[in-house]
Amino acid sequence: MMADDIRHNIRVYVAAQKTHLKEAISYRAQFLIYIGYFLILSASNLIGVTIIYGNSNGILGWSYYQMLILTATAALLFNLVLFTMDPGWFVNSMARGDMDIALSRPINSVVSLLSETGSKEILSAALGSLLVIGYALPHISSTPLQLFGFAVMFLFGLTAIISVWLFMVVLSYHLFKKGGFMYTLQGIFAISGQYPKALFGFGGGLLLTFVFPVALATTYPAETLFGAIGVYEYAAILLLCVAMAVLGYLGTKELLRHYCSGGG
Amino acid sequence: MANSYVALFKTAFKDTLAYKSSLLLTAVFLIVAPLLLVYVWKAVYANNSGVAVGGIPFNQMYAYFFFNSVCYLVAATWVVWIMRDDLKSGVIAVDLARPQRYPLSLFAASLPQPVFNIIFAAIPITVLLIVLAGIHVTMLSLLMFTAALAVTWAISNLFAFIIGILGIYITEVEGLYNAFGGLVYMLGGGILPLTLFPAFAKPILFALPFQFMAFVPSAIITGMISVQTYLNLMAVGVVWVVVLLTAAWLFWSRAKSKINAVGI
Repeated sequence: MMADDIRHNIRVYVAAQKTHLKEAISYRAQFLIYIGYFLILSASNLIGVTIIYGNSNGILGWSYYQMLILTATAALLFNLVLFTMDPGWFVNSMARGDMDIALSRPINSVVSLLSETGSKEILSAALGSLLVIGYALPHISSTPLQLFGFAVMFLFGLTAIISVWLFMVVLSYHLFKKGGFMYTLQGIFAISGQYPKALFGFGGGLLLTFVFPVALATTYPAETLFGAIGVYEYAAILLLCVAMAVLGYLGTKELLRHYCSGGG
Repeated sequence: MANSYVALFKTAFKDTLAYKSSLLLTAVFLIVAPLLLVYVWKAVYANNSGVAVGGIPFNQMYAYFFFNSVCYLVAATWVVWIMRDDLKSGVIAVDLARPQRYPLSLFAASLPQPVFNIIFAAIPITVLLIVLAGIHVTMLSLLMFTAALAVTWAISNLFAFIIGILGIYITEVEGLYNAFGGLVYMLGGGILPLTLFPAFAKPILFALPFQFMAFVPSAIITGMISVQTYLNLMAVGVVWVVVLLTAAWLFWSRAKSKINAVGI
């Protein structure tokens, strides 16, 4: 029964994504412009790191190629988060009552919300980030196992962040009824993910691990790739990802129980 | 006639104030973003054995990124979004029938956001930075900073207006406007001060209008560029304002006859 439910939810989610992609492509000029835009953003990260390393000795002992991988991983993370949801649109839709239909569907309310939005054009930027990672990888000595560990931890971290971010977005609706500032907040997290978490001190590191767990999908996977994370630490980080994802999910469900439409 | 624009401004300002918390959070987050870069640059300078990166002292470097936020606050505009909504809904036909010039009414309705940003965020940040970063500020540099910000505002709004007009032809301009934002960030000094870019790129970057969205105001107030360089760049900026103003007028004269009353 539960397996059927999960299958049904996945089917609805995939069908919704296909529809969104078709909608995005229907504005052909905008679709192509967006692809260009996201590639510009990917290039910005590359340019930033290259110029910093060209003018200095680098950051915290990280090599140029290690830093490229970290910034590209952070970019990939936020590309995929944006692919999943558009925070400002989300909150404003709730404020207009546009989410009422989504929440009355006979599927999981969180899946229903995630089926509603997201920037599909951003997959081009995700591709750009993967190209940067692919370019930097041969310059660092990582084993296939480390690469696999990197990918797995990234996926766990991504899930945790999407879950926590969704909670924060719904919380923003409950508290402010507006979501424009969520883009700026998202930008802050995107910047913080581009650099090693140790850079932000003990407090910043805690914040980026336990409150908004950007480091779980950026610094830790990158350190796994460079062989700087032991087996037990690796397992603990994966468990933390699961815990954050579950907390975010339960928090969102709880907030949705008290959802009051802003429409009408 | 002028009174009607003042009335529009007042109404829009009240609308803006209705979401004080959201606006204040946006302003706060715009201050937090450069704070992260302070950590980044602190690490870069620490790793560089105290040698100034690109000849820029540390306090100038971090102040630069805070002043970038001031520039973004001043450049903030709703013009493109108001135009997009007016065009899509067809409301623009009613607006055109009013005894007002539509472009002027647009700017009147969009002005509250930068005014709010300047009063509640830009001025406090500027004062705090001057005190905390130990930036030597004279009456002349403050005047030059303000003049550069006026060009920032003009270029930002003129670009927004021109992109808004393009909505008549390509229907959805969100992607184009975001791409413009990406170019501003990459080529306008959002990533790094333009003086750190390679020598071959500088003549191009200093000939483009994007430098006014961040680099020129931030560089003059922090003392990164000389008065002579500033005057040269301001001449470029004024030429760009005239070019964009002419382009906006020409585009609008041609495009307004293509607007239809049922929206797009």
